Amino acid sequence: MATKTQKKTENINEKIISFYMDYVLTEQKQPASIYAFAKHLGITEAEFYKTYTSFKDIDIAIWKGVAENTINALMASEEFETYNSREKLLGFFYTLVEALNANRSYFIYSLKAQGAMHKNLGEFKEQIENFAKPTIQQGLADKELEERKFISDRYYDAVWVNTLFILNFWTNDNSKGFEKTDAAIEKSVNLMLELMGKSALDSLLDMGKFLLQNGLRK
Amino acid sequence: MTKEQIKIPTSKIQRAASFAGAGAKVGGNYIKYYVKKALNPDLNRDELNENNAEDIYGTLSKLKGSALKVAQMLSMDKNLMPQAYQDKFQMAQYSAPPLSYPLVVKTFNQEFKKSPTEIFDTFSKIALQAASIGQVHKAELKGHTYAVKVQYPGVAASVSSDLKLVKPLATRILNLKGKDIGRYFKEVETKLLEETDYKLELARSIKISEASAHIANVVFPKYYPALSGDRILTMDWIEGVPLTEFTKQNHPQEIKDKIGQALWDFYDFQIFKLKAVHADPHPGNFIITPDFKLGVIDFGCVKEIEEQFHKDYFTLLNSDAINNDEEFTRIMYKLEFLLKDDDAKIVPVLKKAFQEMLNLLGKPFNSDNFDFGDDAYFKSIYALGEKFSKMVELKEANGARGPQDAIYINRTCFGLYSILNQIGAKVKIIKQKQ
Repeated sequence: MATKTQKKTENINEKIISFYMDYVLTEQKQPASIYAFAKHLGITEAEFYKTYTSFKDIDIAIWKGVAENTINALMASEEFETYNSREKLLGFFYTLVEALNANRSYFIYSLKAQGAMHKNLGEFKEQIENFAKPTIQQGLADKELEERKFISDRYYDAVWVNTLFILNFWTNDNSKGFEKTDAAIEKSVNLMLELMGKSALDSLLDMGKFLLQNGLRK
Repeated sequence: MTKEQIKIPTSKIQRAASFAGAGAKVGGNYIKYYVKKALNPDLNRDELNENNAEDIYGTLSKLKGSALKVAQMLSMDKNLMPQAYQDKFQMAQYSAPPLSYPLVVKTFNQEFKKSPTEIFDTFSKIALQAASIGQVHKAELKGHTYAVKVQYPGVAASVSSDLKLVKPLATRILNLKGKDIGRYFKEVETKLLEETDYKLELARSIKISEASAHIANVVFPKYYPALSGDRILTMDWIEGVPLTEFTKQNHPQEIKDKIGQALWDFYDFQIFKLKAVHADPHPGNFIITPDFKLGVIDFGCVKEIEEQFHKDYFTLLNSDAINNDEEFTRIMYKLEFLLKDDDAKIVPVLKKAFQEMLNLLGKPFNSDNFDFGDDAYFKSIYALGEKFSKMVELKEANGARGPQDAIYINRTCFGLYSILNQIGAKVKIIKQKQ
């Protein structure tokens, strides 16, 4: 019995999401009210409120869902376990962009509608961080990435910044099959991981520290 | 003096000044490299005289269309225009680090809805070779070894924009007017775009390798259409050493001759029978098998030779035709090496220069046996280039000369000569009935 109810809720949830996507893409704005939306969809307001409290909730859930699906798809592939951290991150972004492409219009609309503060990406960001943290841990353990005091604790922030960069690039990409986004992923992830690995950055920090210490002595 | 001529910087100072322009700098380096190399194949031994180089270069620029020809001749293994293009193109595109494995997986998923390891038993995560616009992975399935070429994303899309970027630069380097050079650029663009089309490459590879299968000591990989797509090309893995390695090793003369003969026969067959040639005779595109056969890979760049052009152009390789004044003059005008509005005084000079050049270039085709290992032949070509550079009449000649179809044909011939020289092969020449 429990499974049946669950299934019913899932169905309603899917219905709400696809109807909502269709609505905002056709009308280029949010529905006037939850009442009107529910009526249009043929469900009761109560049913709507069981899953969501506002339209913003739906946006947040869709973004969270795309990250979840991406991670699940990656975990399902046998090869994924054999990847090093760089390959895992690359694989993540390629899969994410594929998943975004499935509803490209909605995601572009949503990015534009929520503005530069990305106020609906909170749970999407959480998902990505949950994926990035163990991946970076693996890289640190394998010595692929360099352990740096204070900084390496925040490496996952770089993954998030890179995600925003790729989202932005993808939004404006009009190459065939979004090939340029692929190139952007390849290049940005390589750069990011090279900076996180042992690199000129260490010498730069070392030099900075030296200058700072000697400057202070004056 | 016409308007165009006024625009062209004539004095050395002006020329040097235009070279110093930021845009021309990169290109200037190519030119310096090619000219330096042309004047002196052993670059280390003798330092080059810059003025001299610029003089030669100046001559080349004024000859325009045929500048390409002379430049190719001077640089021997590289064609100036396409190479200047291609190097720039490579800088823009190919200096990229190798494709990551996840991107290869993605490309496979796009083409076949399967990952490489779902198709093959083993698949090298790391590329074993860089191909011109992609990379080669080694794969195994049921004991058979395959070479799988994967194209970089976005290459095809950026060809035209990359070329647009280079055009003003190249035009400036060669002192050409955009209008004159347009058709040469178009030819290069077409060829570069073709190289990104793996479906076309697959079709051509199969066609040429099947037609050429009978040639002794040449081997081709088998191609697999079912395992190929827009950005993936699968063929047999050919065991052996790249030609670049082979030429560094010590081998008995008969082995060198065997390889050289195979190469010559293959090109002779393509030029005179197939009328379509593998137009990228770069040592990296050949593999020498353990039993010393020539493995031919990479049909990305194929030049199909149109019947009438073939007839006119290759007549020029026949010494009888070159020295028959009436016939020679007719073809020179037809192929636009000579132009109708050329000054009457300059025509005989140009004719003589082209005659001399063609006699020299056609020499292997007019011999029974030709020793490409003999550096004297190559030195005489350099010497001719130098001589041209000092001829005032050539400097004065104006207008774009020579057909655009010749660019890749010349590149093929010089590439072929150059490889045969590197191998050090003596070759029996098949006589073509004219």
